[in-house]
Amino acid sequence: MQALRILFLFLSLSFCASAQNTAIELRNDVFETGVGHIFNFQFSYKKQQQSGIAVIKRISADERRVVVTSLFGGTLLDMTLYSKSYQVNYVLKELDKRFLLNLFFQDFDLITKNSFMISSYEGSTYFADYDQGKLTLVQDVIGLNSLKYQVKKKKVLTIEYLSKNDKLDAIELKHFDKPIKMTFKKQENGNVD
Amino acid sequence: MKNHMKFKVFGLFLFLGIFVFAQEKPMTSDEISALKSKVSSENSKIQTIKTDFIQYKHMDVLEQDIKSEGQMFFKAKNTLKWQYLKPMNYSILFKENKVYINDQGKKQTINANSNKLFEKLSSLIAGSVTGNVFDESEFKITYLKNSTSYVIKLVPKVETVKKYIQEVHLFFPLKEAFVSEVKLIEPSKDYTRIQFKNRQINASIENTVFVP
Repeated sequence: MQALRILFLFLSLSFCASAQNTAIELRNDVFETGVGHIFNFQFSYKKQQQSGIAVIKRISADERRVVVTSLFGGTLLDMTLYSKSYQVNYVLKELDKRFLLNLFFQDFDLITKNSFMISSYEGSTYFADYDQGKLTLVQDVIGLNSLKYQVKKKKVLTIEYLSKNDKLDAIELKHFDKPIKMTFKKQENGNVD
Repeated sequence: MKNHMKFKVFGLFLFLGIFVFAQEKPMTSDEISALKSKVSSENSKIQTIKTDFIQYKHMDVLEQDIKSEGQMFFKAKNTLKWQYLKPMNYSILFKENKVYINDQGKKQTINANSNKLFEKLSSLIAGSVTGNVFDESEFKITYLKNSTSYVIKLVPKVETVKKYIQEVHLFFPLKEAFVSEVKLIEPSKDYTRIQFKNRQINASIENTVFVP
């Protein structure tokens, strides 16, 4: 009995050790905690286009806030994102649709996520599970360079982090399951507390 | 020690002085009538207005406000162009019950008549620029003054506007009939301040400015 207990303990410990060895955390350090990043924001659906301003702020490792306003200043959407849920602080009545809010959560979550638990990798390409699908993440010397999300081998979206002088310049998100594109272009001096 | 005490007392007076300086008190009925009549009289002479503006968006998520800049053109009675130059080129033209948006070259037209919100916004923006906003049927109006300006606080009565704008504050410098600053407060308490600079009344404006 004692031997079985020791064997079980030994097996448990070795399982934990091997799990820690294979599970790699890939960090996305684009957004420092406590700093507000201001972007010129462009949302397009089919041939329609709407520009505005987006603010992204990482509050803590798990909590992020995304606010989108029109150029006139009126808030369109104000959302706090957690690892698997979100809270809507304000949304314009016209945008207050469950499917739309879920879509914004998914897109903003992927853009701003602090880290990804990697299941495997090949060189600088990393693979991770996300919701019901898989992520392919490519890293370069500066950090996360691109992200592809697919569900059942069907491409859902791609995100590209574009840099200029080794600093984030723009983020481009393109959906393949819907005619939606989003561009976040960093404003000059677009980092404030 | 005595000096330290004096410094503290001086600091307290300074603080109280600033507090009193910034304090708003109600305008008298004579002052309200005088302001209304001056604004109305100046308004009747306005053919065009051309002005630069600086806009500050205040959000509770940020310590610092977001700044935008542009120009505004107004032609009596109801043609108004609001043009952002920074951080991007974007213009919105209210003309003959239509709203023309030029979003960095991408053009869009909205029928303001079919969109009550745009109609209300259009008249509110034009009114804010000219100062012609003393409409008691549209707003609950409070008349205040501080040491530098008359502050007219408007609370929309119309539900379609109330959902987006909780209050509008218009600042008329004392002895002037034109608005120098507008503050639009949202239901979330975030707000937008727009300051007008280099205003030119009845200057000639090329017709191309108002071409959609």
